[in-house]
Amino acid sequence: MKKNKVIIKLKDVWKTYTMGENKVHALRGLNLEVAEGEFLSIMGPSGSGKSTAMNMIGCLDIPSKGSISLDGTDIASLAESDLAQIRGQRIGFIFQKFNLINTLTAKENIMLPMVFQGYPENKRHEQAERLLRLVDLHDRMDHRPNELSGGQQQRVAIARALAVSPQVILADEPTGNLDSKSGGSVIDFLKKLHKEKGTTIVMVTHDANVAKHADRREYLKDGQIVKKL
Amino acid sequence: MMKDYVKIAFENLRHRKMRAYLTMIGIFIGITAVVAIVSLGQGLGVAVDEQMATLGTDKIFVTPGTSLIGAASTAANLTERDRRIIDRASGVEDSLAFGFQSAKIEFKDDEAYVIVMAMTLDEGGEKLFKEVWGETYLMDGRLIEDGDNSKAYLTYDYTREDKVFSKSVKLYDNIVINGHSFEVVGFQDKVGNSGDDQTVYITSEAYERIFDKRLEDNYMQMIVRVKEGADMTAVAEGVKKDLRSDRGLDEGDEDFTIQTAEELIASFNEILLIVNVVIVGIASISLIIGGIGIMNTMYTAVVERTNEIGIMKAIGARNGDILFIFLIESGMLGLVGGIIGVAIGLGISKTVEIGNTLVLGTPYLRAWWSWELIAAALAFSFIVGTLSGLAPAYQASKAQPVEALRYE
Ligand SMILES: Nc1ncnc2c1ncn2[C@@H]1O[C@H](COP(=O)(O)OP(=O)(O)OP(=O)(O)O)[C@@H](O)[C@H]1O
Ligand SMILES: [Mg+2]
Repeated sequence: MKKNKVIIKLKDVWKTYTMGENKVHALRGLNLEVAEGEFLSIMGPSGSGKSTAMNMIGCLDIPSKGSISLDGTDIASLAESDLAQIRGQRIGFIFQKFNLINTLTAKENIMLPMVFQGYPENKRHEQAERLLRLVDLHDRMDHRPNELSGGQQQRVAIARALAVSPQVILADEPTGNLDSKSGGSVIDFLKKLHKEKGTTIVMVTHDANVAKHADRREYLKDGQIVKKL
Repeated sequence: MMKDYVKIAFENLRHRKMRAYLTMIGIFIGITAVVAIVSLGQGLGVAVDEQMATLGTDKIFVTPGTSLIGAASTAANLTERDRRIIDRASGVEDSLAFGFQSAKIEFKDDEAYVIVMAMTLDEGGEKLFKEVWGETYLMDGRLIEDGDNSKAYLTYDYTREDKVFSKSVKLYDNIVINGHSFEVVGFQDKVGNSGDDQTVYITSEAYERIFDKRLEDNYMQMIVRVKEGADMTAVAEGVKKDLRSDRGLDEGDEDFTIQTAEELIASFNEILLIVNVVIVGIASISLIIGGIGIMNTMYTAVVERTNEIGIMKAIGARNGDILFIFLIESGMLGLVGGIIGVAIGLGISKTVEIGNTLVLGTPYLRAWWSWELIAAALAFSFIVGTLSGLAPAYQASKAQPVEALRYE
């Protein structure tokens, strides 16, 4: 694999939660680099800080200590409105529990990120329909999430993550709530995306069979990268 | 973008329809009350203005008793003697005095009980009667005149079938009033309320014959015309003083009421104002309660949708977007409550108008509306909704994305 420039860089990142008297260190000096166009999977036991790390990379949270840079921008120093801007334009999230908006249809869910970015209406419809075809749900676009299976909901979530053509896709246990068949098709979509579009993907998973599809695997334990579990 | 936020807000309200309707109750009761009372109040104002336009603003009204309303419940009379004094007072042109009473009238095989009215049709009185009743409203035939002792002047509803009688009355037909036969010589055109449109007019001689009492001993109201250019208030004061000295009364002890057209309008407006203040007070309380209801509902919605707020932030919503979405939602709660309120409020005032026409027949209760009234009511309810949603929406906008996403 040819060596691309580093797009995500975490340097000595700490995240500490204070629970009354106790301090919980979710991350303890995490160092991680992801190159542009790379498909990285992160594995590790429950509570090791995987989701915490993902949230930091995705600008949903800021570190207690250390620095995170995203395509050259140091996000630790940014204000909330700038973080929202980065989330909306450069990041696409895929969650374990799908996280679709229940009152909106599949198509409206996919259009929502574009609404926040002020895309014109016809562009939104065009893009949403294209993405629905991509994830094979064109015939379900007016269905609400509770009318879709788990696998279908996750495909809608993938389409939503792709809506603004982000640089980075962050998938936190995208197959965690799916049977192996639906999970397989979700992975296939991510692989296809990575291959055809060269999108950078960071995926958290518990499943070694899922992780093996990535270019590279990292292991997290007690808030740090370790060589092997 | 605005459209999309409205759509999101609408879907959320639709999702919890029952709660949305319950939340709107306070707003819609308040708006209903305000719209109904403004509609009827303005209608009353228009009716009073119209009556004044017909009567003319150069008139003074004299009634027995100490108030407009208390006229019937007083022992004091207004008589022809009083009218002579009034006619002689400085600045007075002429006057018309009248009285009325309910009577049984018969036509063919039908009978009905209606108001029979008589007036002084001497020289000055007839001139005024023609001016006030005749010129604007004569539809067919002629008015009654002095000496028409077996003739009657009827009104619009008698020309229609199934209004007063099952058959319509024609010119020169005979009707029977309290056992006395009268020939119909004319019809008054439609005024628009059953009181004015079902009255029977006769002369004072005829009045004395069928009711066995002299109209001249007990007038119920006098309309006094003031000479051109004379000062209305001064003339009214002069008439008051003359009547007082004839009756040997001190100032302030009058057993009669004198009002100029303007004063009459003013006293109407005064009553109206009191009613408005009371109703608007009640409506404000209702709107405040409605606002608190919306606030409570929105706080609940913010908590319920914490996860959704987290999702929206994760896909790029700024704090301002979240604030806006929740504000629109609460504004819509207010607005829809307002729409229901306006509809019901106008419905109530129209119902009052119809009920009044059927039962009371006074010209004063009618529904009035304008686009301004509707727009103001809707704008106000939207603003109440939006303001009530301000604090909850702000709370929503400040939610931490990670915590909101973790919320179950
Ligand atoms: N908001 C919080 N307040 C307190 N502690 C927290 C908070 N968020 C995470 N933690 C703690 O930080 C640690 C790491 O949590 P994290 O969710 O990142 O784990 P994870 O690796 O994603 O686990 P899993 O595989 O179960 O999803 C855990 O010990 C967790 O209890
Ligand atoms: Mg996790």
